[in-house]
This record gives sequence, C-alpha cells and structure tokens, in this order.
Amino acid sequence: MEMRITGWRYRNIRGGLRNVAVELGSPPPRWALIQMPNGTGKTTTMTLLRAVLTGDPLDPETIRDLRPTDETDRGEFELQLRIDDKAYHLYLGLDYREGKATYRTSRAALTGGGMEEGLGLPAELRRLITPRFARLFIFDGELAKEIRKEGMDRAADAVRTLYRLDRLRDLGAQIARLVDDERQRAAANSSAETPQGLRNLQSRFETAKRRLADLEREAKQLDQGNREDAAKVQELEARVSDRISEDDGLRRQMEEVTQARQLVESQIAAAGQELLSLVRHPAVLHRRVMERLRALGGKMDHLKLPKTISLEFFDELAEAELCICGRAIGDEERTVIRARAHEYLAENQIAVINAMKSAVRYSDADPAVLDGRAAALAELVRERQRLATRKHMLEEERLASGDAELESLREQLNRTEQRLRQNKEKHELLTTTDRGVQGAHGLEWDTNVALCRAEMDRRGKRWDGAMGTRRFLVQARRTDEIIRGIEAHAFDLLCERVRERTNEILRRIAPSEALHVSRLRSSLELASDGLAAKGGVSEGQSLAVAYAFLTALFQDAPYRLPFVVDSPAISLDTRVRREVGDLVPGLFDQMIMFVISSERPGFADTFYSRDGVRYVTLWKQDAETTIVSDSLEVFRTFHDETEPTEDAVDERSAAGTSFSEVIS
Amino acid sequence: MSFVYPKGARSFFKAVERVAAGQTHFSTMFDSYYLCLMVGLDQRTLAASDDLEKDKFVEGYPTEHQAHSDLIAGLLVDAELDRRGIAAEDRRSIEALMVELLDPQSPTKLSEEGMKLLNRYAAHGFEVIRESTPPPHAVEDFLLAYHRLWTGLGAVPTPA
Repeated sequence: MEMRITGWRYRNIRGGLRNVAVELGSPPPRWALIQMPNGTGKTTTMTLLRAVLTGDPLDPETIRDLRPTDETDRGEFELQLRIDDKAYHLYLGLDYREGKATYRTSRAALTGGGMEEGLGLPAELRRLITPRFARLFIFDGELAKEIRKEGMDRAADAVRTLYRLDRLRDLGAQIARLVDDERQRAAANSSAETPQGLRNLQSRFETAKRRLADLEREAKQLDQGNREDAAKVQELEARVSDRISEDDGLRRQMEEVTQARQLVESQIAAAGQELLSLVRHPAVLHRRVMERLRALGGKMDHLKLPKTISLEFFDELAEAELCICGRAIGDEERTVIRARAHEYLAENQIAVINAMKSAVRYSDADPAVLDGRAAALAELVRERQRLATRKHMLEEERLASGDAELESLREQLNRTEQRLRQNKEKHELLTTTDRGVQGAHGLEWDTNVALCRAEMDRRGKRWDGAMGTRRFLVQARRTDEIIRGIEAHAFDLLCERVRERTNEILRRIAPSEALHVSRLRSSLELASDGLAAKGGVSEGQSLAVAYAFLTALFQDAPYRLPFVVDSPAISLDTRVRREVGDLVPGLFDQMIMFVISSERPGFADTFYSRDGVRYVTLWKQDAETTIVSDSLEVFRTFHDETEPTEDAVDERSAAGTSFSEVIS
Repeated sequence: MSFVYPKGARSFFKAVERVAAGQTHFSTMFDSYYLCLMVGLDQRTLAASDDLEKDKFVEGYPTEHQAHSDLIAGLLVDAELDRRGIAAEDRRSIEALMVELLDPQSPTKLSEEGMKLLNRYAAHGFEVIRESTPPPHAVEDFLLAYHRLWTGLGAVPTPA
C-alpha cells in the first residue's frame, strides 16, 4: 500500500495561515523542500499533519493555541493524499471556542465525492498510523538525537504493526473468545448436575482473574510512573546544575565538574566493555585457572589421551571372523567386544578432545592484564565518585549562601528520588518471578502477578475439569502458546533483520565512522571502536544512525509511506550537513523537508543539481498574510526576517511561476 | 539439555541486563551465566538440580563465547576429575569420563550429562556470587566485585 502527500491547506490558523495552500502536484515530486522562517508555522504544520493522519482528538489547550485571533471561532487544516492512486482529502476542523477537533474525509470512492464524518483512511492504515507511529515518519530532526535511546520502544510497536505481527495477537484474542464461549456452553450444560459447586468454582476463578487484571494494571501504572519519575529526576538534576551555574563564581567550577563527569562516564563505559571482553576468556580470570588448564593438557599428553583406538575399531572387530591375534571370534566374544567398545571414544569425540587439548595448550591469556585493566577501571569509578562528591559540595556551597530556589529544587529532587526508589521496590515485588524473593517478602497470589497467574490457572483447571472442558482448554492454551512463540520468534528475526540492514546502510553512508548497531532492545546500542573514548556519539553520527534505522525499518514493510522531516540539518556543522545532504535523498520514495534559510548552505543546496525537486517558500508579509512561492530563485535568495530580493521576485514572475497566496 | 539459568539469577542480574545506551552491558544472559559458571567450576562444587530454572535460556554458545567453548569443556573435565577423585594416572577412568561428558553432535560439544553438570556448577557459582556481593546496579561495579571475588577465592583442595 502506497501513500503520497500531494498538498495541504491551512484556514484560519495561527501564524498568518489564514488561507494558504501548498500544492505539490499529483504525482508529487520525490523531494520537496519547504522553506518557512521560524514563527511561520513549521512546528504547527508537523502537529497538524500528525493529528490529521491519526485522528488524534487534540487537547483543548493545543487547539486554542492554534487560534489566530480572539475573534476567530473556527479553523481548518486539509491534507491531500494519494493512496494507491486514489485521492483522499482529510480535514481537521478546529472549534476554537469549544476547544474541539473534528475530522472529515472526502475520497474518490464516495458517491459524488461527498464528505464522510471521521477519518476515512483504509482500515489497514487507520490501524497502522497511531500517534506514536506517526512520529516515526512525520519526524523532528531533534528527535533524531533521541531515537537511539528510545527509538526501539517505538520501533517495537512499529515492527509489530508494520510487519503485521499484530494479526497473530488477534488470533490469540480469538482463541480467548472461543475459550469463554466453550466455558459458557459447558456451564450451561452442567448446571443441572452441580450448579452450586460449579458456580463456586467459577466464582473463585473469576476472582483470581479480576485480581490478576488489577495487579497487572497496578504494575503498568507503577512502571509508567517510574519512567516519568526517572525523567523528572534527570530534569531536576539539570535544573539544579543550571541554578548553581547562575552564580558566576560557581559556574565555571560546575561546568568543569559536568564536563569531567561526562568524560569519565564515557571512559568507564569503554573500560568496562574492554574488561568484559577480557573476562570472557576463562584462562584470564585467575592464574589458578591457567595452571589447571595447562596441567590437564600435560596429563593428557602423559597418558597419550585420546587413544588412537576408537569405538569404531572395536565395532568393526566385532563384525570380523578372526581377531587381530588370529583367534576366531565367536558370539560370546562378539557380545563382549560390542559392550566394551562403548568405553572407548568415538572418532568424532577424539576430534573434540584434540580441539580441547589444542585450545588448552595454546591458551596464552595473561591474568596480569586483567588485574591491570581492573585497577584502571576501579580508579575511574573512584574518580566518578569524587566528582559526584565535588558536585554535591558545590550545591551545598550555593545552599549555604541562602538560595531558596535551589533548596526547593533539591527538596523536589530528593522527594522524587525517594518515591522512585520506593515505587521501583513495589514494582519489583509485584512482578518478581523469583521464588526466593517471593518467599522472603511473604508474597501471595493476591499480591504478586506471577503467583496470581499461577493461582488463576490452578482455579481455571479445577473449573474446567468440573465442566469437562479440560481437553479443549489444554489444546487452546497450547495453541495460544504456539502463536505467542511464533510471534516472539518472528519479532526477534525482524528486529535482527532491521539491525543488519541498519548496519549495511551505515557502512554505505558512513564508511569511515565504523558505526555499528550491536543490538536492538529497549534502545539502539552502538558499538564502535573508541566511540566512548572519543566522548560518545556526535550529532552527525546520531542523525546517520537515526536515518539508517528508519530506512531499514520501512524498507521491506508492505506500506510505502512519505517521510516528512522538520529541520533535518539545523544543528549540524557544514561538513556533517553535506554528509546528511548526500545521504538523505536516497533513503525514501517521498520526502518533504521543512527547512529555514540557514539550512541551505551545505544541506538544501545539495539538491540544486537534482531533478524532481520542488522548492516552496512561505513567509509572512504581515500578521494576516502569508506568501507562498514555488520558485527556486526565491528559495535560494530568501532570508529569514526579510522578503526575497526584488530581483528574485521579478525573476520568479519572468519564469512564469506564481504566488499562490490568498490574502484574507 | 541446554544452558539453564540458576534460580534467582534473573532477578539478581536484572538491573544490569537492562542498561541505557552508552553504558557497559552484557551482550546476552549468557555473560552472567558464564561468570557464575567459572566460579562454580573453580570451586569444584555442584548445586542441586532444583537450584536451576525449569527451562533452558539458550541452546548453544553465543558468538562472543564460541571461541572458548573448548576451554570450557576442558575446565568441566578438569573439575569433574577433581570432584570424583580420579587419579592422574587412571587413564581408563579419565577416558570414560570424557566419553560421558562429551558429545560431538551437540551444539555445545557436551553430552546431556555434561550440560547438566555444567548448569549445576553455574548454579553453585551464582550462590557464591550472591553471598559475596549485592545485586549489581552497573556492569562495571559488578565486574570489579567479580574480580575482587576471584582474588579472594581460595583453591579447593584436590581430593587425595
């Protein structure tokens, strides 16, 4: 399924977007560069695009923020699409007085081209494009920095939806419905025999089921709260640092401490990884291990092990008429030879032992190296502690000078950290599957998710047994397990494929950087020689990883979606911009890039030599009027805070392009 | 029988299995299993089969450890020779032990019996680690504690 954006129109939206249309044409060009100065609605456009594609209800505050003047009651955003070559127009109506958003659709299939209420996208796309998913292809350049950290959380959902794994989940839900139906049917049939007993069993089962739902909900809420608190702790720590930095005398010291901490953290990461690689060699762990391995090798040499006579030799001998000494082999001898042959190694076992001997003999690991690296890491960890103490002392110094604001921030930070610790502990107890922990804390079925699930299963089995539905339910459970297994396995394979493709793309676009995604879990983790030692990943590298990852994610999906990006190069230096400018065009089938004039050098200008590019410039003539130009010359010469030069406007007219502005 | 995790180890290593990007991390659960195993083999002590989880967590060696699979097999043979008190000159018993522990067809080159013993050594190693250090919050802290543990571990006397 292919979706393309052919244009959009704003009506009565903040930023002078009274009645403004951007037309890309149908079919649209592969690349469109939309130049909008700051304050003319780039961020607003991204918000509106995401909303109109997802049917997001938008909160009243967001809607009112879009209001151009107090006198305006309504606004509208219209998005024009081609989906598998059929035209779709999606309308987001904004009721500023009520703070409400409404959606309508007009599409080719509707008789007479009329309107329908709600979002009339094809069902598959409706299901695919959730607000979280939309952020992956209506994409902020700023988000590129974060995608390594949180990308996979989003991408996990995206992989499941993009590659239709959610349909396997639907099968699981269908099985659950069948199980419920079967239980109802069986309960109805059995009611004449032991109605009260059955009702009791059912009631006990339902109680456990409800309790499990409550516990799972509680665990989810705690997990969510903990994530929020962890983010809040980070934010408060940053605010504490900022506050201390307001004191001129402390600022420089604080900056030094912060920089030193960043450096030491990256050094710890590199040294830790190196130490981990070292300890994976058994012989490096301790001199004793090395000595034992060498002694084993010596012992085997001394005993001439493995012997050259193998099990196969005796098996063959048992088949012969005569022994090698010339005596006849009868049935009795044959039986004994066959039985004792198994005391000898088979030929392939001999090969294994020889490999083992060889590994033992040639093992040249040096435990002293491990000692040295461990000592270096320990020193770095101590340095981290020293810096933490230094930071704390700077805070204390500022507090001692009577800074009430800082005191308040510190209190908030302490409270949040304490709450986070307590709630982490609660979450752990609620979700632990460790029997030791369960026993030590006296956890029961009604206080722990795993125990509750086991109790529900136990009660369910008793109820099922009483109803005679046991066999059906065992099969249903087994089928459900198989489906879950298939889903988990397919998910792992897809993640691995996305990881490999990401690395292929990274090798192509950044061959000199040795960037490599080592695994996809809750984040994209990078492995690169010396990466940490160099102080982590640069902004350009982050962008390269984010784009490579997104390309890999969408590459084989059965949906071809446009890629819309805001400020793709805003914070990059010219060299990195040029790399991103070379890399980006090849990645997606349709790209719409919102830029400001400062992104032209090194990025937008790399498109000038390409065919099939649309250049659009929007700027505010006054508070009520926005001008739209699709002239390359206007695009090239436009500067923020100014209009294009008169020459450029004249050239635009001479070239036959036209302003499509509509003045309200 | 493949690699089976010691009971309780999941929750013990939980914090270091899920670390943020840019920090030292275990590549797989096998890293923590391996670190437990080495301690167990060194101490020549088996935990009970009950101290293991019910199901395997991985079939064969992950890439990072494959190169050392022969050494691990050697250390298992060595530990079992000591634990069973097999004399250094007893060629027949040593060969019989290798027949018992090795299986060229298995992904780990170890027989089912060999894997059972390996897992029990890992479970004992985990007990030693759990007694010597609290659940780790960062891999680097754990590695340093692990290194200190090895420095303090005494050699188990070889049976006469």
